[in-house]
Amino acid sequence: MPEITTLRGREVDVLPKKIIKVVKLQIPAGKATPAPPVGPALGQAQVGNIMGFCKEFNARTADQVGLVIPVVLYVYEDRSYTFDLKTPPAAVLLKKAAGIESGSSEPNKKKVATVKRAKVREIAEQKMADLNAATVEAAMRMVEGTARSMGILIED
Amino acid sequence: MQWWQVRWTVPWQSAEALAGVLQEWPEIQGVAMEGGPREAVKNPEFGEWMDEQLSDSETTEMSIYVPESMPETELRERLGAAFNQVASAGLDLGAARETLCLELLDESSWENAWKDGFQPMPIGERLMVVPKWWEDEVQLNGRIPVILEPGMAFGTGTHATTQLCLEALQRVPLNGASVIDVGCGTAVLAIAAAKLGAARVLAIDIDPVATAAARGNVADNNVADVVQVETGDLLSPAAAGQCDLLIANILRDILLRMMPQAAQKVAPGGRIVLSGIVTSQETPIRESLRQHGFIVEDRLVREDWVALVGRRTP
Repeated sequence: MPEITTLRGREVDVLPKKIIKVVKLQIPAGKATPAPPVGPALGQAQVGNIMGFCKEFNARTADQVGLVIPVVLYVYEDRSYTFDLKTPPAAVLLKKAAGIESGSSEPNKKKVATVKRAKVREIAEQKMADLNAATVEAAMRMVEGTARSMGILIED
Repeated sequence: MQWWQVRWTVPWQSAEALAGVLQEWPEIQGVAMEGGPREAVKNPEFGEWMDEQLSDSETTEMSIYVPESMPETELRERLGAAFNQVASAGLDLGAARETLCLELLDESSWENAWKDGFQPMPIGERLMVVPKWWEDEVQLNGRIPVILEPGMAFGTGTHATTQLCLEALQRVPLNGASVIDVGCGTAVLAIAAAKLGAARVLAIDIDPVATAAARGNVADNNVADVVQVETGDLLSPAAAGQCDLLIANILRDILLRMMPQAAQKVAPGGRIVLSGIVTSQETPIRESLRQHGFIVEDRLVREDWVALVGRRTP
């Protein structure tokens, strides 16, 4: 049922392009296929043209092959859709910063790398908008948590 | 092929770290997440807005898909280890373990789910919007098909505002007419106009993603000799000159803003079809039409939406 709503803090009329679903996927750049999780995510949202999404995503991330890229999919009321690419996940940026292939499977006992706090801040600043963090410090706490879960030590 | 669909919820602040751990699994190709802080609207200038029901939530629902070949016990053990890994880093997992849900899904459940939402749609007396994959099977019963590939452009034919325009197009004279479709999206209206007899149609949109989709649909309908697709607005050189019919299925504020330009584009005696108007907001649009020299000669209503057909006084 259409109703008056707010957009950027002001009251506006109902607009036809209502977003009814938002799904975030973390998938490898340049390699999206209709297999899970892309197929089920788009299929269950009943949006059309899964191959079209894969083609478009792969084209737009072709120069980042090897990285996992978060993509936010917005589904409209008429089940057309759009998507937005985000910066790589904190875990990927931390691995890159630490020069490691993978994190520790026993992060409490086995530390696999060390990253400077300044680098954590840099990653937090880069990821701040994507993490929905209100402040850099809040984003840093989330990046530090990811680092700890990977067995990466942070030093000043 | 069958897949384990594994779902659980975590506090949104822990989702990123847990996704990082899971991305190390060679068996999965990615992680899907829903919920958490509300995302900003991507393109408010294109009239997008977020359903109020998609409000902020403290938790994120995460899901991964693992090939059925992995035994359930192994899958549960490895998930438990991943949860422990994140918890041992001091992150709050909330109700992740309690909400954990494993389900075997067949590929067909999503391969065809999206197609169910797009069936051929008869609209008005003469048109049928046909999703592309239905092209060879659909029973047209004498209707004119408008073939569309639903994707990244507005105008799949399922929205009332699009349907109203398609109905209006069947009620105005189109034979040999020149038409401008402003904010064309998929070009569904431009294609319909061409198939209903228009001689020349300009489909224009400021969103390049829309015009890319529009070009594909125009080609699929074999109307490229009639429909020209351009990225831009009514001030673009492509939109120079006057037309017999201007169609705009946009939103009220934009309709009101573009009315002075739109009015000049319509030749005396020509028509304008305006849609994207909620019934309760009809009056200012009618008033604007009157001020710009149009007489409202038709009004179409579907659900809570209205479309107006105006005729420019000669």
